[in-house]
Amino acid sequence: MEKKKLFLLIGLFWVIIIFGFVAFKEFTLQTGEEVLLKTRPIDPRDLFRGDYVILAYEISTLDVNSLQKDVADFKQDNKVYVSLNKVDNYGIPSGVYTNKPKEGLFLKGTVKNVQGGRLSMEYGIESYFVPEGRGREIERYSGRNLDVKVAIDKLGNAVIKGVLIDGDVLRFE
Amino acid sequence: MKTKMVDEKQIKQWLKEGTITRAQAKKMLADSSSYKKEQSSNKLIVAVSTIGAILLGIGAILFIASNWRTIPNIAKTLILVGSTFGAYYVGYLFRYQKQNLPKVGASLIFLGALLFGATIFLIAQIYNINANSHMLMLIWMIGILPLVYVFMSLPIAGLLSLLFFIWVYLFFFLTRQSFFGWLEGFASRYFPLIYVVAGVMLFGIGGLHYLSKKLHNVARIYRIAGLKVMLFSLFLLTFNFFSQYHDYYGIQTDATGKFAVGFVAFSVLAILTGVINWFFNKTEQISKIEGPVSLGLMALMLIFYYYPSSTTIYVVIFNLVLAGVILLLLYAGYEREDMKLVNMGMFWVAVFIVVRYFDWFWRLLDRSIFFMVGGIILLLGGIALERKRRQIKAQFKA
Repeated sequence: MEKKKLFLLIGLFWVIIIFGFVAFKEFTLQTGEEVLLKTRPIDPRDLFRGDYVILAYEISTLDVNSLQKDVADFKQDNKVYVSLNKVDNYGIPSGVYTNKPKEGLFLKGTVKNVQGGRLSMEYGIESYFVPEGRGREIERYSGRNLDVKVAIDKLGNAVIKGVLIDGDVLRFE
Repeated sequence: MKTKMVDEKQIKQWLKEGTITRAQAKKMLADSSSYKKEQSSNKLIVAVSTIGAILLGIGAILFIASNWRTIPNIAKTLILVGSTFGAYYVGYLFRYQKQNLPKVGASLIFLGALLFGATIFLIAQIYNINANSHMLMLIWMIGILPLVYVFMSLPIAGLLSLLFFIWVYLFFFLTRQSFFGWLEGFASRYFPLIYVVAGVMLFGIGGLHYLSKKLHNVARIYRIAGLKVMLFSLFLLTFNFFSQYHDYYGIQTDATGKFAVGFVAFSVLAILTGVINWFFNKTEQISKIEGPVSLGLMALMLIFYYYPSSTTIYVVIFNLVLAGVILLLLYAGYEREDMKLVNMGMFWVAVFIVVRYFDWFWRLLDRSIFFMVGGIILLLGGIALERKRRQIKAQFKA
């Protein structure tokens, strides 16, 4: 194949990757159900992608004994689905499954650690990016109600829509 | 294929033997001199424009990291996507279509590869995708992979190798989103283990590229990168911190974990490429000792993974293995007259001697004697290594 065609094909490949990536996230944002998750910030980090706050949700630790489940034991790196009940717009976990639930609201996650009946979970929404040098501002809100508004699509993927302090959207101007 | 001009010494020798006339010798000497000048100027252009591309790439990544809210996300995305495709297009134009600035064009294509990664990171930032996600690195790698083979771009092959090793860390070791999550991986005995396997694998994959004449230069980039990482990881394994089993550190894994699956997949690939290169790859660039050494290393890694020991047995084994690999590297460099391999071997000989000296004699000798003897070893060792290196270099040139 001549070089020009290959050059164009690579360009097209990049377009597909970039727009596919955006479309995938936009699908979740546009079609997903809005849910609030109680959270607390752990600490801001400054790596090469800039400042971000690490978010630890209440549902980042699950007590499997108090939840419905489809297997007896969970293992590290298991892909699981956490079903959520909406109570006053907050997502409250009701079950944890290795198979995708057929209906209802559920969040896809990975078991990062298992200790006794407690699972440490990761949902892919643990980083919140802030402008350079502003990460520590969020830490000042400790003691106040810190919630994260997420959109969860029907496949269980979640995208952060915003951070709320005592119900008000946090803005960096 | 790289062309080589005859050097001054050879021309004078031919003149002396009567193979060529004085006029021919004069012309050849002039050609050889202008060729050398052009080569050095080409190297300078490549170096300057590659550094320029790297600086611009770093600038773009820092621009994303600053995360200015004054510029709307859509504008930032458009700027970066525009720059990515702009650099890629202009690079192509200079290198292939107009062919007026081929070296600068190649650097711009390289810049396009860097900016493509920056674009991925920007989108990930806009949607708050977890920092340190190995998927982002993987997407970047998949995106730039075709550039290596379509444009035979060696800097992009180098970038790909670097991204591969970063991806390995994110995939295998980043178990949680925190600063300590980053550190945990380094303090694990699995850290050097995985990198030896990844190094052998990349070395093997590089070897497969020798099957196509067009890919010889790319092959070398992969093999050198694999070799460097493998040597460094083997060096780490010579310390009991990494090779002696302790139950108080080391990440938890089990047979169903991502780690175990990844380790087995990497091992299978490393063994497969080793076997193919050993038995089916008959190109002259593949040394006969490579296959057995690669497979031997893989066997050792598998034993080390499945049968850890709290004794110092692995410390001894890895010291011997590293010494053996360095000697083989020097042998291969000498045999093929490859100065890069010789230099690499010499470097590791020096590091190995100095570190083991510190390891073994720190407690045994009085401090003043320790430092004085150390100084003498370094000075004499430095002189000996430099002399040997020059001698080998002169031999290769002759």
